[in-house]
Amino acid sequence: MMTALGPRWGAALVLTTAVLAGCGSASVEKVGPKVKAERVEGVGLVRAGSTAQLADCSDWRRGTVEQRRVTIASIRDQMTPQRSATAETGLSDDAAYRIFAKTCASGIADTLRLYKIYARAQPFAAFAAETPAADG
Amino acid sequence: MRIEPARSSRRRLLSALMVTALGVLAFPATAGAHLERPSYWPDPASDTSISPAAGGAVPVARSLESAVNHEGPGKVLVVCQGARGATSLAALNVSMHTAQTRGVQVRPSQPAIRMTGLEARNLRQINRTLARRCTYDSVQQAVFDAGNNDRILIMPGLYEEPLSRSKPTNDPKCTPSLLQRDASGSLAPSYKYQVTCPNDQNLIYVQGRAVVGDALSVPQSNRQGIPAQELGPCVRCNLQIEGTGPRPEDVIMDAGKDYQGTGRRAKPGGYAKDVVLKVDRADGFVGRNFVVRGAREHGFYVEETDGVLLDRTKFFWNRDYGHLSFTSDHSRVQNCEGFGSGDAVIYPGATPETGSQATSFYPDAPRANTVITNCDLHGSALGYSGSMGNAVRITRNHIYGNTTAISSDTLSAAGHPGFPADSSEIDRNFIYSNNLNLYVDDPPVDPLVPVPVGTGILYPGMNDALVHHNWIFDNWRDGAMLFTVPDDFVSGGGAEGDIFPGISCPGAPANRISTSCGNQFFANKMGRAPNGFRFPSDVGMFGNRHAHNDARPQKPNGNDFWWGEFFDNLATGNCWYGNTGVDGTAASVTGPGEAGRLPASAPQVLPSDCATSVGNNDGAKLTYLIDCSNGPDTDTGPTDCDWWSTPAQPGSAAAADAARNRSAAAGSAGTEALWQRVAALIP
Repeated sequence: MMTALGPRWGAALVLTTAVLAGCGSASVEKVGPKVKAERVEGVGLVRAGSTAQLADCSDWRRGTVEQRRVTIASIRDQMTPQRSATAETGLSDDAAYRIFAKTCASGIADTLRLYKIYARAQPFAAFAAETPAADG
Repeated sequence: MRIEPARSSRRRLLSALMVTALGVLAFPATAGAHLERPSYWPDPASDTSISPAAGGAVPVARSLESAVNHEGPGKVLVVCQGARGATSLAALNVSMHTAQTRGVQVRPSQPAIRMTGLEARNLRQINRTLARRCTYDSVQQAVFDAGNNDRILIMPGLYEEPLSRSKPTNDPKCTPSLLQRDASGSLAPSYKYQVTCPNDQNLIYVQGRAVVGDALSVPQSNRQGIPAQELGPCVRCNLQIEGTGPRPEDVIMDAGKDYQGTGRRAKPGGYAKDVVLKVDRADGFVGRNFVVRGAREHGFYVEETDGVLLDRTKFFWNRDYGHLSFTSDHSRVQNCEGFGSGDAVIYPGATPETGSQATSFYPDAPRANTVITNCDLHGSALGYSGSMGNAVRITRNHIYGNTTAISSDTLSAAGHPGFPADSSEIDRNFIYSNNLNLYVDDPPVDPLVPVPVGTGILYPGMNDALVHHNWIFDNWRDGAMLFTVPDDFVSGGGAEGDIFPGISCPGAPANRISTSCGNQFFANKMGRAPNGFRFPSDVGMFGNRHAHNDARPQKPNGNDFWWGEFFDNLATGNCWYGNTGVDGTAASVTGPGEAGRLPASAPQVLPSDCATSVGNNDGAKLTYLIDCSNGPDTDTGPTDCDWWSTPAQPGSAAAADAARNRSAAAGSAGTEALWQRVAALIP
């Protein structure tokens, strides 16, 4: 028979949340104001006023810093729930920039969609970025 | 100074970190979902405002013969090429000759079946009759003129739809005025956008219902039922679109351009439109006997539709998904083939809650809302994927030669209602040789999503799944993988739509663990092919590596079952029982104990008793999974992720070397460094 989670689980959850929240907020403070997706075009092909849908790593490499930041803002908006006006991502724009820069630096990532990378990185990137390499 | 947490603290940390890592792990494994307008599940009851009623069940295809015998309901619109269909008839004759001499092979894994003389005469006569009635040379124009219960018959030919191609993308007539803004502020084309500018994104667009009002300014949290204010009456329900040749390849609807080579399987060098054929709120749709090819995104795309049958359809070189079904019900895809997708050949996403979480909205639940059967899914990053793929049944297919065969996940990306995914059933399939490495320079198929090379089934965050009676062999990494996705990590801000509490995991959603419970893997034959089995010729497509095509049944997986495990005080209900391994016995199943895939800490548990199943916190797996979250790279340390290269063939010396290199992972310096980082963050 299944059992309910005990207090230990609650402590673990609090810790995990603190890990993520702490890293995320620290990064946000280092970043300038968030860029609105609609101001300028991001990298890649535009659909519905945004490049979030189709932008990939090769687009990223061709873009300017400003275009990349616009792209991140656009993806950030797309990747939060549609039913909530207050939902926010735990991934700062700076952290997202680092993730894209790292992943897209590899030639084998040319065609990976940025929003799919973002979705994967969203929960953990801030923590991972400040963690020593896993193999020491 | 090195921080050395007390043992109890370490246990707590381990639990916390497991949550984090397992959540992270889910993301590289997912199909990445897709971005779409706020979508709703259609009313599962049939719409009786037209006769016969639309939806409420998988529609039944009407025969080709009935179209020329004036058997209703509805009118017949014929599309052809050449004067009075001359070009189509010429193409038909060539194909008929092939069908009679070499046979028709709908799926590469199945034998070709020769057409008899009588069948050929009948089909030729039908086409001659249709040619005389042909008044269209464009599928889209026929669709525009079609209404409820009508049939569109497409005679052999390549349909590039030049008029549709000439329509602008991001048409100022619709952009931005008809974009729909959801609550979080992001924009997407509304239903009215698609109706007003049908060929902005789509080569061929099927509008199923009239536009009667604007979309809600704030989407409903409850996604059961399309909001009444925007749900118009049927205008193209019970529509059937069908090719009239002996083979699906005789009719190709094509959005590609600049093809590299010739032939029906040629690869496009560019794309004219995002979607080949989109079916939108068109209940009771039947598509049969054609190919959709060359979309920048999706070949066949159906959304908010109740009742869909695809039969003898093929999906070639569609860059994201060959077939994308979204928030649709009573759907069946059968006798199909697809390859060349950078994400998945078939993707039913955000399928209705007709499984564990069904409410009174689905009075006949539990039931499968989508069935994929008798298909060959191959030569792609994924054969099948589905975010929030609730109650989808995948049965009697051959899925081979992909990077990963199947991934069904909980990822609450924007617009994917149905959290958490549950009630998937994978049964009686042949899942083999999925070792296609697309993470290389100049890949044969452009991968759009990172997934582990060499994997059969991937469940990142699935509940109450049944995986049984499958043959799963020659997947050089893992036969089946399962891990959890804690609620806190499914898209920023939480899940999409309502969560129905307490169904799948104990204590959910209050304890924030709603996924990866109640999954059963049983009666599967692992690492072994059926007697007399031979690989289809396409198993080696794009250089996919596979075992020798000989009569020996032993074709081992790198590892049969891999479980991310869970917390040692949480009963999960996940269990593995009655499976057999490479020598035909239960004892040869790999996964539990020391035989499981490394890196991992002993003992690797794989509970057989569903009632007492608990995990066994594993720091080595954790470290490895964290590295996998960073995406493709070429690092090769003992705890570095190795998902992005083809594993060594099981049983080879190289495979043994790899295992030895990873055996040092448990308790490695990297793992300890990770502990220090987490410990330093403790308040």
